[in-house]
Amino acid sequence: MIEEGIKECLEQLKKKGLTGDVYGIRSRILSYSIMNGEVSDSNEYEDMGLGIRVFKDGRVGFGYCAPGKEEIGVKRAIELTSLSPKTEMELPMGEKPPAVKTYDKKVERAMDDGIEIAQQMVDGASSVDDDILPSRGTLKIASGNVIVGNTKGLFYSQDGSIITGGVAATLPGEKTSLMASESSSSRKYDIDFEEVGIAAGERVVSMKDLAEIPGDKIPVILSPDAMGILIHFGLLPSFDGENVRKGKSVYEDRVGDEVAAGYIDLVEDPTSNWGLGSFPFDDEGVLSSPVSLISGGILDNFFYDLKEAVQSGTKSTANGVRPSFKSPPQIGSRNVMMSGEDIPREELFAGRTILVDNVMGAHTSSPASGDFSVVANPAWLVEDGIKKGRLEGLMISGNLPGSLHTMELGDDHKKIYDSIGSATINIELPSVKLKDVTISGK
Amino acid sequence: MKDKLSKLVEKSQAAYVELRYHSREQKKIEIVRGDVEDLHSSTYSGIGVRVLHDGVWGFSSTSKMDDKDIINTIQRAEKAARITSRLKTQKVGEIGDVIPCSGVFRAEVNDSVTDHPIEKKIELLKELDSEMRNKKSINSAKCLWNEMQDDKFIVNSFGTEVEIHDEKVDFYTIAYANLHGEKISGIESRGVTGGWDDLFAKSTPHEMADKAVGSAQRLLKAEHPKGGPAKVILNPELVGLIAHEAIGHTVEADFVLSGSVAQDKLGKKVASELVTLVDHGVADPHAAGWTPVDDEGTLSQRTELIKDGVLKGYLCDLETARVLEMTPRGNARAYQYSDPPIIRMTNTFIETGEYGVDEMIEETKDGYYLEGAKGGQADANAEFTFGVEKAWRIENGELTELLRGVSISGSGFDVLRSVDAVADNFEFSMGSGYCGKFQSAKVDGGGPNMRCEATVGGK
Repeated sequence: MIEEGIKECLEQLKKKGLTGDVYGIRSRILSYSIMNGEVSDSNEYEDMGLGIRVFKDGRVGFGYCAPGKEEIGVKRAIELTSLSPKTEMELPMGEKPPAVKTYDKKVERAMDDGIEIAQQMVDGASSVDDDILPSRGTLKIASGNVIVGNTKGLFYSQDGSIITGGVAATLPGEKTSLMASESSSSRKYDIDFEEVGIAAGERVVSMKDLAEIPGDKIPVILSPDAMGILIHFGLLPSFDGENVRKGKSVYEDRVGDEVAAGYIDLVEDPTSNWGLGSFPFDDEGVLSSPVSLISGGILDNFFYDLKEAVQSGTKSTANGVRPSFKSPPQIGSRNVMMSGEDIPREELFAGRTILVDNVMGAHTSSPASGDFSVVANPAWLVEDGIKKGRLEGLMISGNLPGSLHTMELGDDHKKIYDSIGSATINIELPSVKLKDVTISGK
Repeated sequence: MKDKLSKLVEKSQAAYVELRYHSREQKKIEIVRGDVEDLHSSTYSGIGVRVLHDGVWGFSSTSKMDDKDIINTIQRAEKAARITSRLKTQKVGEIGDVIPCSGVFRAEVNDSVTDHPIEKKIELLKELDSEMRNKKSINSAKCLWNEMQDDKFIVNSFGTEVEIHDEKVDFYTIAYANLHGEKISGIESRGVTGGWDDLFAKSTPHEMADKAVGSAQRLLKAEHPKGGPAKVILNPELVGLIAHEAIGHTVEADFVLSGSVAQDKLGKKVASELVTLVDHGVADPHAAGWTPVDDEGTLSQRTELIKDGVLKGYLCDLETARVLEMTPRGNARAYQYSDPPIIRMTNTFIETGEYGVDEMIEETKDGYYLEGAKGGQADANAEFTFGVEKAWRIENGELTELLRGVSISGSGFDVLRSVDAVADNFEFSMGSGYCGKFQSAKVDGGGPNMRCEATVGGK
């Protein structure tokens, strides 16, 4: 139905002598909620639609519609071209896309067992301590198909799947309840969801004892989840090609400079098999290939979509992304991976450190400077890898681009898939030790 | 459509069926440095189906409107409920004696934005953008326009037959300045239920752009604060944000039943006696969270969540109201047809007190006057952190140094316990934002200025 819809839109554009591209998606999503200690309810729906971008007299218009309503969608997109500024952009020609593994049929099959899978998280969390209530959680299983076509004959289609689950474990505390959560996501059905529940349970149990916030400056270790959120809001905006061109990035005019410790690599690789943001092409039909952002500490490149590539005099890096078919493409990261010299856990946690498992307020980070000031919760004082007590009311602040020069990387790489507001966070990275963070709190 | 849905409700074997047709016309314009950065116009519609079968909810949706497709969707919702009922032990009992609701509800709209052509809106935004960029120290600007016209029909097994016609619009002007590579922004925004005259009732678009420029220019000269606990005076926008983010979510019944900090606190003192905190879908016809009837077909009623410092209620839907032996008051909301209704706030605010704002400042020896919110986040324990646009030091009763890059954090209830003055002014001022609990929702919040204690974070 999507395929026919895209062909119909492109046919209509060609008949009118116009160029353009069409993005179509059909996905089936099944979700289960966990509430108050059990799997509570379920929701199944299909998301299906077409996003149409039309070029007329050098101007671009965007509209969207459901399959079957192609004429309305195309008409609306054409109408809006007259109100848009002149935009230079070259649509890509069709080539052979790279082979990227994004679909596991076992994920689709798992939809039939969704309730039992969600129950595994409940059972896992409950098994840690009799007083634990798996208070909230979600299991989401999705599979579908994305097609991008354009009037130059490009027509790509690829299936994708994802299974993501998380649970919050609650434990009655003295003053308030304690709560900790764990989540895991994969394009393959390879997650042990009972372990997800157990991790949430063990985490909340480790929050029982309190410790004093240290008065001195000690290293802060951010879990992959906490660091992933900080990187998304405090570092990746500086790699947006448009921000760089407009002087809103700390990396303006710095390609070739040393911007991180020599052992740090940051790469955008949507061709990595089973990467949560991997796909053989981006949402405007540009073929994916690995893009080095930082290599051995040296700044290499930025993110570009088709429009910004023309403005910046470069090529698209296949970073034209759409939050949904209802949005035109915009620059965005897809499958960022941070790696480097891994340090074993014992070494990373040697001496006195603070472990931060989640942060709140990362979206208030300055995208231009990378300055951040966030609430760290849950966080613990740790001595030689052993949690000595939870730190209540801890705030940490610092500058992320600056920290890249001295940070150390752990060996516990994790694929982070999260959403905060309208932002989807999709990064693979390990725990990170920051040595230049300011600590404050009650 | 309403009659068709009423007939189809009878086709289900489930104990309860709810059909919600929702059509939305939306236009979005974004102007950045003189260019149209985003411009789209869309219409989409569909039907959300929720059933209660064997004590379990099932939900599904469709964008197709044929009888056959709707019946298939009802069957999919029933199947979803059947599967979940295999393991669920805490079944939803009878929903209770619900009074069916009927009627037509229309937003109060003065000069509908649909009567203003999109060309005129683009022209206005470009003009404002240009004005802002021509001002001293301003190197970039952004203007945003977002309008939504919603039509809904809700029918359910209780005999509810409701028709709702809503119009909401929000508008932003943002001026940017650059200080040694750091981007400084001044923001003025407003979001309302209503039309053009309602949106610009307090300030004209040009006045808003001027204010945004003035804020950015002043912040260029501001320093960062020192971190630590402090006495703070919050403006109505920040009071609304605390009422919504830090307190409101913890008293949503689904979070309460999941162990939020507000569980077991009913009837207990949780705030200063100066604090009365309310949620009300029709508190003001132009508040952005205007919700006369929720998506379960329940009429909106005022809910006093905290009265004189004592926790008095929770926000419920039909199911949790029965569990907690409360009355549902119109807080089950869905953002679009493909979303199931969940417990949401509408317009959440703290009631006025008797202090003058000047009096409040004069009495404060050492503290901060905080104005404007730059996003917020909170958890189920009411721990929150908010970005603050502008902060002034208060020294010996006078506003002195302007500060930037400020954030505040704390426990929402601790902050409310520390309130020692509530002003006599009032404003709904969160209307341009959205709440993002699992799905989007247009909400509003506000109150008077309020003095309390919180942790101030800086660089």
